[in-house]
Amino acid sequence: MQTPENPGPAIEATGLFKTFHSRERGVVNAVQGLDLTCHYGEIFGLLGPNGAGKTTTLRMLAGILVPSAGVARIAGVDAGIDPIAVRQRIGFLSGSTGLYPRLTAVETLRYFGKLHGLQGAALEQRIEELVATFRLHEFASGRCEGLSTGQRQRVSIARAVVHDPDVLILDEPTTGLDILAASDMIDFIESRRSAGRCVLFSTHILSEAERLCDRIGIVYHGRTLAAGTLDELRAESGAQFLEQIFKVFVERASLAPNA
Amino acid sequence: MRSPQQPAWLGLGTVALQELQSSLRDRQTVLNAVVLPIVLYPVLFWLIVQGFLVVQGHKERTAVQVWLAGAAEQLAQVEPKLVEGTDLPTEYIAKGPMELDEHELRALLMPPTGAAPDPDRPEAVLVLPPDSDSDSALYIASTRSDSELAASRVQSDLTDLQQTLRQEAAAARGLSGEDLVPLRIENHTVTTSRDQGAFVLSLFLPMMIVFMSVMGAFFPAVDSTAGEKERGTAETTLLIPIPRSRVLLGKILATTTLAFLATLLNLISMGLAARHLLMTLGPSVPIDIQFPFLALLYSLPLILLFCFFVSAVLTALAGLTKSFKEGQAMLGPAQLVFILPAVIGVMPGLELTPLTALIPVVNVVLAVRAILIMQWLPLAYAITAGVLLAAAWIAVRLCVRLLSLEALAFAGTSMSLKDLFLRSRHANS
Repeated sequence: MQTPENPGPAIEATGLFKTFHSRERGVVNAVQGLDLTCHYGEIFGLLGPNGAGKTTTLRMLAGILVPSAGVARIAGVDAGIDPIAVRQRIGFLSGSTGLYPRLTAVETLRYFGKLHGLQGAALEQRIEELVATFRLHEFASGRCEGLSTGQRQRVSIARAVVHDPDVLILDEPTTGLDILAASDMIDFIESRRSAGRCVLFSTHILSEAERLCDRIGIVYHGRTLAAGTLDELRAESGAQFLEQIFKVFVERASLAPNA
Repeated sequence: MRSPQQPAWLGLGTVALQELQSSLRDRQTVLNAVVLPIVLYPVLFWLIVQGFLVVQGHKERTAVQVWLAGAAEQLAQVEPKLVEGTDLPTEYIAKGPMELDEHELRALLMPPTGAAPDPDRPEAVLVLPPDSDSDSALYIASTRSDSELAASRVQSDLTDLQQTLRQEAAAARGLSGEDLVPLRIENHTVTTSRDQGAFVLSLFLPMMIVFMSVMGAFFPAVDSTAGEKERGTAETTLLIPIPRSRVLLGKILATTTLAFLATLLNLISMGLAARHLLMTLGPSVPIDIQFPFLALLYSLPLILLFCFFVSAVLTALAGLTKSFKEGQAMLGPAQLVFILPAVIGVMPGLELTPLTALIPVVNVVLAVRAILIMQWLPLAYAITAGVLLAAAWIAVRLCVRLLSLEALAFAGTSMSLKDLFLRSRHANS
């Protein structure tokens, strides 16, 4: 299931730190020594409340934020040293990665395809594949500003995988979607695992994580409190359901002396 | 599916073309970069000149009344000559000797506020001198435009009258009027009417280059930076797998293209409007405006460099803000940095020299002015190009440096200039 050219883990974060300096809030330690490892053919869910540092972590892994300390490797490439190579290897999607409103769906795919080095017939063939896979036919030539939320999400996913990346990083991918669109997204995530790709996604919808994830990491105040399969987390926490498991780890962290 | 690394220029070109395409689909940008330069500014220019001509015509048709005060024999001598000499609707009325103090004159010349127009009220009173050693006195109300008009007509008519009186006096002594003028001067210009036309264009076209470059770059610069944050696509752009510096350069190149387009369209349009105006004025104006194709062709490299410089500065500044509104507020005053030197550049007496060529903005105005009147100043032109290139390079470096800061790259963030220099710099690749 592993990609032959990258024998190691798909994603490997060790002791990640990120500090922001804000005029309003002063120094903010958004991520404080976070560790995680994800493998090819695996779906890894990052669980945590708002402000836990999930989005910042994903942005560092995607090479769009530079870690203040620690190492983030994607397919063996250090995101702090070569963020461009990392961006070439990942597909990233979040609530903040909007579509260019004045481009059509097809133009969006063509633009990102070109930037990922696709050209000519190969590019057009890839666009056709994506239009078919994500059922974009009806609105493929309409400007993105006129699309519904669900349609935009489909175009966004197609944009994120135009170069068929080995690693997919999704920040709360089902937030704001209706039932059908959310279901499409979940099917898509599963299909990537079936294709041997690595999917890392953050969520605070516990049922979603329970259903999809091979392994789960619980993040709180910028640290990984626990990581493992659902069974491993059950064993470690002594709780049965993910909601209870989550609470156990958060309470333990709150009671810890250096919390 | 991963493809081999593409050449640097390809990614740059792809970003620049996308930005350009996106800008040209924005109504506001098209209005400012294409429609206004071609239509509105030349039309405004044409309307201003037409308005001036209408006002001029109205002034010539406006009737004014001037009272003449003085001894009866003086009035008998002067009044018919003034009436005969004037070719505009000026009515001279002899009133005989008048002893009016300042209050009475004020009451006569300045009607009470709200009073209906009185056809018997004069616009000026000319008091002739009691003897040859004294001067005439002309009383007007300088806050009344028709009174000012009367004053200028009386001055003109009196000059003609003096000339007539001199000629009559000379004739009485058996001399010709010409003998009273010891030295006569007649001006001759060696410039052709076409040279005159080029000179007229050189007075305003260079300044328009600066105005239009700034106007043309304004909206694309805001749209591609602050506008991107507002639309929620800033993070999408950060995902582009080429260096951030190249993405920003692509944005600057797209802005440069639109600024250059706006400038070029406006120059063509204004040149044609000026030519059309002079044609409508007829042969009374000895100026022949030819469209300055050759001069503009020679000016293009300098104009292009200037547009690049302006685009880099405006993009950098707009990138400090987080919304279109903030971007517009930031660039509004910033425009003055370009426009004020441009106004200085068209001041009379200032010419392109190796020294003035060192001053950005002023140098492009002076250089284009010199090119329009076909002055050959190779050293000064080379210095101008070098200075613009250096200024553009510094501006691009500054833009890349500033907008690569993580704190500025994300949506919903803006930064004060103070913060920029105090904050540690984590630049994105």
